[in-house]
Amino acid sequence: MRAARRLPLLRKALRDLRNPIIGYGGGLAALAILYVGLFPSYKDMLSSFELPSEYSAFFGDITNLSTLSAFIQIEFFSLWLPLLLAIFAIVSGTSQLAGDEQAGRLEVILSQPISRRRLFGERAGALLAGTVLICLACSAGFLVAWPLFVSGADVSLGRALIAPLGLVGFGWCFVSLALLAGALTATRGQATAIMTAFTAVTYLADVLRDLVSGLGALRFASPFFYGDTKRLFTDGAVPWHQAALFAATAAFLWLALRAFEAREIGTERSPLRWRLGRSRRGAPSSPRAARQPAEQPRP
Amino acid sequence: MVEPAIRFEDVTKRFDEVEALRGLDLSVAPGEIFGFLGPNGAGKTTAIRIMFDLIRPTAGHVWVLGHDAQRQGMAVRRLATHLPSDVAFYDSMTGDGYLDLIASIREAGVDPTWRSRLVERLQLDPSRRIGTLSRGNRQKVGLVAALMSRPALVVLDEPTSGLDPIMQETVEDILREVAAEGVTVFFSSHVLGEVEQLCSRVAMLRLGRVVRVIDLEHERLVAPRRVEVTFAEAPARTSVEGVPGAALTSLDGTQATFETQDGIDALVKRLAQFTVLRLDTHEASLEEMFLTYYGETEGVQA
Repeated sequence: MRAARRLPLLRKALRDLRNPIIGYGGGLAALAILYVGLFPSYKDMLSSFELPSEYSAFFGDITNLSTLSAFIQIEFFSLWLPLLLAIFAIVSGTSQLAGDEQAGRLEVILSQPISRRRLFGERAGALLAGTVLICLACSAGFLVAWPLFVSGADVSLGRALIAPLGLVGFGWCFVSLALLAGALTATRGQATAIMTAFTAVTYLADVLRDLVSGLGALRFASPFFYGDTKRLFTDGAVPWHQAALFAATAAFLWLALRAFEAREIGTERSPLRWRLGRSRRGAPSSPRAARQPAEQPRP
Repeated sequence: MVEPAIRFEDVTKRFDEVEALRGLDLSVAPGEIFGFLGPNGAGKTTAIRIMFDLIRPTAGHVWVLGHDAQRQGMAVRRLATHLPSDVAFYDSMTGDGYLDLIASIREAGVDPTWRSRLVERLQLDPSRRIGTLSRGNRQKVGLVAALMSRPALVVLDEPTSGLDPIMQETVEDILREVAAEGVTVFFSSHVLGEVEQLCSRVAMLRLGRVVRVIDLEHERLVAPRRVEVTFAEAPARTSVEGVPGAALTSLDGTQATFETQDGIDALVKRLAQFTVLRLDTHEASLEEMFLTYYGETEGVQA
């Protein structure tokens, strides 16, 4: 009870995220059930279907679509799950700080005896927890679908339950990037635009890496590559890829915290424009007395 | 010597090429209700945000209740509260839910009995969702949030905007009561009459500097008074001119206007020679002083 009272902003953020978590988690769980349920109907048709090599390059090294693991990998793990996780992270991550600041709510909260570090920590914690809950919802979808539709599959229920959790690090990476974008840019709109462009570029860089020469090196900058979105369900996650995602998350969160601590609340200005170290030390300035101040930034 | 509740020392704040504050110096004594006035863009909001470490000064220092506002921001925010103008809420929360959230962030110091009394006096229904409340009722939620922890300093930016006149009076009464208990009230408002009634001193801000601090009590005693006289018959100018300490500023038929600071006795004695139908005296209002400093072309806004 005492611990709960000490984390009011975490609880508030989780309440705010309740609907997105239910929406994204429920939607993805429903998709998981749908694809597992649809597979028996498509199995025979897919067994005679020869996958073009380009298609295989796009979605992963899959030669036989008539297995459940290949079908779920292509339909669910290569597309819907990573993209919807990224969208959740962008929408929710940019709203937690940048959106609240733009609405004027952050000014009131940060006028209370709470440090920016604590506010950031509690809100980031809620987003990270939300990502885990969405992945768990996918596992729950498989748990429901397996006894209903699956018999004699090439993949175990255990792998189906574990596989969505392999994208937790991927989701966290996007959450931390969205928080960083929100802390560094002037408005939530700018942060969302940057993150959307980043997602599109890095997704295409990953899926087209085997088709377009020159994209091979770019894949190392793509969270989709480290999330193993082309092979997670069929082959499992690569441990060092997971480690890279968690390390990147920690680094982006640290940078986002530094940017948020440097941010001037309510001015809708990027902290990159702020001259670091100058104001805290109160270094003397030389006001140009002759200059008449124009309108100051948005009050 | 008593430590000021708020002290700005040569504070400058620059946003790129714009200087919002230019060497702001200001001192507010503990327990006083202090008015903060200025036209749009004068730097009031910037100054208030610096007090709560929401933004940082480019140069200079701000001390709030004995603490450095930037280096000891947490200590400041434990002792002081802030109600911004056009305060923003989480619309899906109820008034009670929002007040509980603020109370849990403040951890200690919220007096439930005092909170209930504030809610009652402001006639607020805290069970309703904030998104469904009128502007005035939302303002009441913000006022309760700012006052319920019994802060040593409360900074209010246009606290009565959206409130009806009766509720404005209730808020003024509450602020007088808390000030009587030793709370410092830093009050920014564009309702000059309200500032004049409530505040003991007023700082006028212009272009990022304090152009004048007015002690309203003292000003009421020493400020020139305007005396308007209606005579039964038009007097000769020479007969009403030259009163020691009272200058004739206009004479139009039976209407005469004098301005006097310490010549009221001599003026009354001179007027006794005539049949006077009406005599009105006016003290210089804050609005007149405000317009003197800002000029009538500038918006009268806090």
